[in-house]
Amino acid sequence: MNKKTVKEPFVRIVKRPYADLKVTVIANAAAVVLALLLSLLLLMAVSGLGPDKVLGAFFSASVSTGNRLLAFLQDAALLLLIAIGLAPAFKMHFWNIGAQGQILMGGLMTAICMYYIKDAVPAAVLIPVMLISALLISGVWCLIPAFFKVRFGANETLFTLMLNYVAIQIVMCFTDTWKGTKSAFGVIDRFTGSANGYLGRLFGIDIGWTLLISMLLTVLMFIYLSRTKHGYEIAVVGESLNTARYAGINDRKVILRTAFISGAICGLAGFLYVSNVSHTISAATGGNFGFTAIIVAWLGAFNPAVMTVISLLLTFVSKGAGDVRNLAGLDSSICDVVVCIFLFFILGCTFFTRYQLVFRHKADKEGGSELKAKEAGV
Amino acid sequence: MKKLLALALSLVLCLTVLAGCGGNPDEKSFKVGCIMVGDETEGYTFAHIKGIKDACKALGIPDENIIWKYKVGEDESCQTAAEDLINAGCKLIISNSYGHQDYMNAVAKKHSDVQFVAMTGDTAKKDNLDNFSNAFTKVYESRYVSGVVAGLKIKELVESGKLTDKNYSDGKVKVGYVGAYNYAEVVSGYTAFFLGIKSVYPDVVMDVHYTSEWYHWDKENEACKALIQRGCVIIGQHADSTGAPSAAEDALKAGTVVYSVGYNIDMLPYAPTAALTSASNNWEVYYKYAIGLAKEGKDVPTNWAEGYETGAVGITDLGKSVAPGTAEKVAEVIAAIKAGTLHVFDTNTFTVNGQKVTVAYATDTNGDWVNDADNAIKDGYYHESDVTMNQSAPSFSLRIDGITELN
Repeated sequence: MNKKTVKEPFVRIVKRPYADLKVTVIANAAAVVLALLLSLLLLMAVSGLGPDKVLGAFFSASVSTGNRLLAFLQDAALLLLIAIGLAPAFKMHFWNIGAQGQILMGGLMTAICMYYIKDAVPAAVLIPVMLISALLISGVWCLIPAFFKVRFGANETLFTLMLNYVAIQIVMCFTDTWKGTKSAFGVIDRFTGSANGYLGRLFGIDIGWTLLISMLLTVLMFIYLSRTKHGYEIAVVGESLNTARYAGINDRKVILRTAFISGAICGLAGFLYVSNVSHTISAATGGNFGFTAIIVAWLGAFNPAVMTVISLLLTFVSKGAGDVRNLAGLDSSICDVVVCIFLFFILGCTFFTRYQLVFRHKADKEGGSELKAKEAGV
Repeated sequence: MKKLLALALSLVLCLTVLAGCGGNPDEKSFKVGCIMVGDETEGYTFAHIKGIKDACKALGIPDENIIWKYKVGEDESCQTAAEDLINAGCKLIISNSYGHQDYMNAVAKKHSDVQFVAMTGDTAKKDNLDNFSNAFTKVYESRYVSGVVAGLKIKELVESGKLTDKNYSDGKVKVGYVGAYNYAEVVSGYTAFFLGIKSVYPDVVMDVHYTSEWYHWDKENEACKALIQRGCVIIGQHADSTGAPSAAEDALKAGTVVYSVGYNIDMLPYAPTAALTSASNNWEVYYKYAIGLAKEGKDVPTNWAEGYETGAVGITDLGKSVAPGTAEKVAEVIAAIKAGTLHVFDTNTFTVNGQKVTVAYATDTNGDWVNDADNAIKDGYYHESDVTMNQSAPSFSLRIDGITELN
């Protein structure tokens, strides 16, 4: 009895001591390929279309014409911009899930300026006024929960979430008042007779400003988070409040400042929606991007470069599924299902990048010695 | 960084596959895009879906060339949907709710190669865009006829002594109306309904209760209950759900004398005893015409409005509760409308502030939503939805004597 040793399990899960680039690349690539295969199979199954049609629609949806490419870039850019706004807050472990409300407040402020100022001042004055007021209101919209967090220890997750609904109601209050007995508010210039405040074309593209500002903010945020003192403070506060305090970082100041920046960038997205993209405001402004961006920021590990890839990928997938949906007359929920398949696989593959499966015989022979060697620091 | 590389590589992989696939093979065949405010569970949209499907079948357009966007709100999601439909290769885009038109117009300005029809809209004339049109049926004709059905019922109820004091206001029988929004389309509709009733039973007054929603079962149900509470014996509606007929049916079963006149769809399945009939549109007539034109690459006219003369409007089957002789009277009225001898908005049949009306404008030129041009009163009647005046959506917005707006 005593001689019998405990049999080693067939497979053991061992935490990787450090991330392995090769494994990370292979795991992510495999995740995307598997997700793609499963999505396409699903789309074929529910649409009843042949693989040629499904593949054709899926891959051409974002790029086959200039108009499609622009629609794709517009969505990806806005999604990325909002995720960029969330990144510093998340990195600081401040769970701002109020992006939707911050977008709406920024958009509403932009619309208010246009609605009431109309042609009273030239665009060169009106646009900065719109921009600054949008940034301010959205910054403050995120600053409120931050203030309650640092002052009273309030839970910012619930607080920011609830402020989304407050923002939705405020927007509806304004649009309902403006539209009067009409059934819809409509496009601002059709309502006020003035298109003053619309951002014009840039590089001959309607949404040129949106694309440019998104790219610019992505680069700036990358530098801000990785190359500045502020970025370092954010990282320390996020990792450990006590360490931050011990190091003499004014954590309250950092939290308030970062929350303001986070909200203001979401407000910038709201400004772009109203002034450059849709020229209207409603509770539907921003779609669901305020929530989708949370996933983008998380999957991108708050790294603007990775987040860029993620937002492009998710938008590409969503557009592709949307086109198959159009072709087959499916319910629009199919797009969400396909996006979720991708999220599932990409999230799932982090298991393989963080842990290693050690098989019995392998552990005895190569793997085991290798691991032991690693553990010994060889 | 590593993740980035991984994803970049996988994206390259995707794009390589893409390169081999190429564009959509169906791009060349004609496609219609449809932006619907509801889906087939909602009467108004159901009528449009049926109209488009029947029209496409008649024109030989296969089902897969009709692309549907359901439950699109009257907000920027309409723009997004329209852009998506253009990207999907649609050459004609139809939206079915009034509030869609501004968003449709904004997209139409950017895409001159695609035609846009904002059904029930009223700005195409003013907008003057080649590729943006409005269309509406002359539904006021069928509302008038549904009013005749209601009037005959009131007459029967009065003669059989079934009404109580509560049902009268200064000796006039009370009628109720559940309206969606307070503007011309609804005003024109309830006025036509009221005039239809008055043509057979003149001593009536009507209360209108707005819901500020096109489709809201609960609000319509509540509004109907409130009107029943006020003593209304007939409840008409310009709202898209079955909320009002259901409330009328419940009240009738509980012993209150009240009957319902619906809209869009046959309400008999929801109110077998209370429903008299419904005013309805036969959208297929227009859709066949407009989709046919667009398919041939021709321009869809800026405005279109037809009624009984081409079968674009009608009333649904008469319920078992209608007064005897209703079917004959209805046939007679329809024949008179078709023959042009009966005009719904005959100025001899109504007054505003006790005065006969001689001037009523049909067009809003400055965008303040108050009509200020084009006198539509000619030859003794208001020319409603007159395409010769480049008008398709209802424009009649006079508040005539005998009708009270409650909210």
